[in-house]
Amino acid sequence: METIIRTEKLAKIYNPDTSYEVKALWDVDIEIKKGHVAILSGPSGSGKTTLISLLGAIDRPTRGKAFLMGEELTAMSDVALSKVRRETIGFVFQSFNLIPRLSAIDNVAFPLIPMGVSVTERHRRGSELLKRFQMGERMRHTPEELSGGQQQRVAIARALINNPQIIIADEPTSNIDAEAVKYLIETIYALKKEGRTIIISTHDQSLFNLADVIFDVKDGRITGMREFKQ
Amino acid sequence: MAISEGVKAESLASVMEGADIYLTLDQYGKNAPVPLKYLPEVKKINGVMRVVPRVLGRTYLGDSLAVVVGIPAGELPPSVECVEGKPFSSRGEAVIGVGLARHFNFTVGHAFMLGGVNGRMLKITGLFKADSSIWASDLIFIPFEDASAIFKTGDLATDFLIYVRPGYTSAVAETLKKIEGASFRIQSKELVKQYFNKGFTLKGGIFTALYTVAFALAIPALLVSSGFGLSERKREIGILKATGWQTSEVLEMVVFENLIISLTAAPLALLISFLWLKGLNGLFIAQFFIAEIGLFPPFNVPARFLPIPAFLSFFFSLILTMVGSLYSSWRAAVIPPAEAMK
Repeated sequence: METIIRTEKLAKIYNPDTSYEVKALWDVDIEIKKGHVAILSGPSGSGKTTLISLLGAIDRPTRGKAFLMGEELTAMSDVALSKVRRETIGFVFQSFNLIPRLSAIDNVAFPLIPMGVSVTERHRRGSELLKRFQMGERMRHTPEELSGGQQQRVAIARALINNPQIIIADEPTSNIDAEAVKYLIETIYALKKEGRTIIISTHDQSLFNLADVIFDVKDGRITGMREFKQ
Repeated sequence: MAISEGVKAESLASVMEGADIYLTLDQYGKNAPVPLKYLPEVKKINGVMRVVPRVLGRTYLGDSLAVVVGIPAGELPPSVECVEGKPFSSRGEAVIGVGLARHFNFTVGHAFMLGGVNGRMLKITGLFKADSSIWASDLIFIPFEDASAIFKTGDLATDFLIYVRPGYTSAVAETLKKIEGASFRIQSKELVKQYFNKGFTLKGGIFTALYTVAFALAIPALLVSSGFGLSERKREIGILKATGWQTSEVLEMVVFENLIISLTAAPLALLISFLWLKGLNGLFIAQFFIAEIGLFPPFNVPARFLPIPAFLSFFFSLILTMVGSLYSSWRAAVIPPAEAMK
């Protein structure tokens, strides 16, 4: 199966060469296949979020290389990275990162603005996605008027608005209730069936059943890898 | 700026309706009272139509400082129109501005004491409204002799107002220079107009300088204050970048937002200043432009809204919002989104 993401000796060091130096990630070599669900598992502070940020092209490593579909992410310009984030990756953040002053539908649709998509088309695509996630009744609500689970559905809808090949979710179960977790699992399963690659950082074992591969992360290193046949 | 322009317009209107030549004595380069003995000689000059000697002074009427103009009966300036009663015709009479009349509840027939211990009891024969609302507020016209007695000017006048036939101003001025025994200071209407223009330009310049200082102070203040809200903005920009926006697109959005803010702020500022001046009659602010009128202007504060100040208000608000947000937005946009969203 085709490799979609690969890293070589990837490292992220905060405050390098100072007395406050923190090696958040060190010599990470992983490979994720297209269409797989990959889970980065480990305790809090292990470096999962740092790794997932580097894989999602929203942060730059201190050293090492990351490749996306054969293209070296770490060598790309700011403009090229923006293009990758726009066209290939959909990110679901741990705290959802919705814009508080925008309604649910505007939060979902705003990534389309710089692409020159008309307001009507943006709203059509946004409402279609929100309806898919049973949020049709709450489209005009702002994030503060939504529950944690509902905010996450808006965040997932936003991640899907550009129809990306890769969905990245950082600790998706940490801010939602049990009912919402169940709904999330169904959603991930459905996205996987659509052929998308899904990378999840979590220590929630209820998501492990979905995984094709689990990378154990500890103290900024990959300490193990488990592959499953789904 | 609107008040300043309004006052300037009214002042120039008054000048244009005034005398063609203002004659005083020249004492060390300054105006000095002119002896009445020159009056017949000046009247005889070819081209002179009328000469009006004036005594000008300021004195208290109750709690208000009033400008007193003493002129011969029948010589009220054309811009002074009696809205009630008639001009004075003999000593012991006066016409006063509607502003003062309103302040003291005076009407035609009332009498008042002017000038303290040397004062005169004057009976109001008329209330006037001048083209200039400032004039009408605190001006009192009284007979020349009464003013002379109140201010103890003897056989002197503050100045002579000389009205000449069209085209005779220069010739009359030349003849005045030749009168023996007197060193006159001759100020033509054009010269007075120039003084006004210079004065208002200076005043406008001072205001603009103060405005610029305030503007210069506002920029760092805005940078500091916008820094307080920067973390939220930074996070928002991080989200935009994480979802595929490019730095240039983020900045384009910020510029567009600022344009909208400025386009809204400038008309709003104009509307507020218009309402303040027309509705509240320049309450509190008029005193910065018109001396001694107090917090509550007793007359209609003149104001003119011109396109350049309106454009400047838009321009300055745009610059302020741009300076306050563009640099901080750029800084947030060029760092990795993960860092901006922290």
